Amino acid sequence: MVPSLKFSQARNDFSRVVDGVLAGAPVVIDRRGQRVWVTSVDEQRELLEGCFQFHPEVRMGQPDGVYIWLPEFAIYGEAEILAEAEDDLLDEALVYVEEWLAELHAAPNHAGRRGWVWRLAMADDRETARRVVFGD
Amino acid sequence: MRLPTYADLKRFCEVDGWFDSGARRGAKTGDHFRYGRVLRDGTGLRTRVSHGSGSIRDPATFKDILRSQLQVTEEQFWLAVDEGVAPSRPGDTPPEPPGPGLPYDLVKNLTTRSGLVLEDVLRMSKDEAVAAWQAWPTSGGAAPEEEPGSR
Repeated sequence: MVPSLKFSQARNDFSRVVDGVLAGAPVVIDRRGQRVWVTSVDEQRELLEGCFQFHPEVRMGQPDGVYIWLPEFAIYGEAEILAEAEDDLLDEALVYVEEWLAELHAAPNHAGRRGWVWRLAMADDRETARRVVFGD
Repeated sequence: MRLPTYADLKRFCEVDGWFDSGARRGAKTGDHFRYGRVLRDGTGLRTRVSHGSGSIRDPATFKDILRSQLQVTEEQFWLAVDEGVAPSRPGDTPPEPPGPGLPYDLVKNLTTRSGLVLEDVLRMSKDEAVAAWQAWPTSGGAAPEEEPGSR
């Protein structure tokens, strides 16, 4: 079982809690029955990566144009060439993450997308975000 | 398949009562307007409309926009754009208006003398409640001396 700390214990000894988590030992913090699981970003990122892959679909417009649909967020990017459509989709995906964190997380049709949102939200920069969405 | 211009998409959002989500968040709009709408069941809809005079040029993407972003049929979309008819969606049906209330005396008699539970009584129409009172055994099946609800 993962050790469970009372909120006050964790607050008073937070530095040691973080040291333990970074050393690979996750912790549960309990505040009057509401429990928070604390783990490192790297571990969380690794776990999400295995479960929440993106599957962008590229399509040709008629008579021209390139479209990329991202089913995990139900969004699309479009442009005249593929590289620009990728940029457009990435912009849109980052806006989606921002909107999800602000308010969409509470909507029943968006709540289930949290794994993909968190994965993208954990990207440190745009290039990492690009690899998350389109792969290496 | 008829494909929409950006102006058509914008028109749909206006007819269907979408809000400008970019402005609401105070975000820069970039190359697109962004719109949102919350249905009565809490479903959050969102879409974007590019600036300029272009159009959606891919039928598959338009179908995905209809199904996943706007949650309407193609027919509903064009009816909104061409004729200004706002679509109805399963998750956006207004609640049934409450029926007329029951007279106080009738409710009081049914709950204190007939022994019915208040919640059950309040689910009855006035006719059903009067019938229940008249069917109460000690009333002999006759109308009470003073008809409940007559005051």
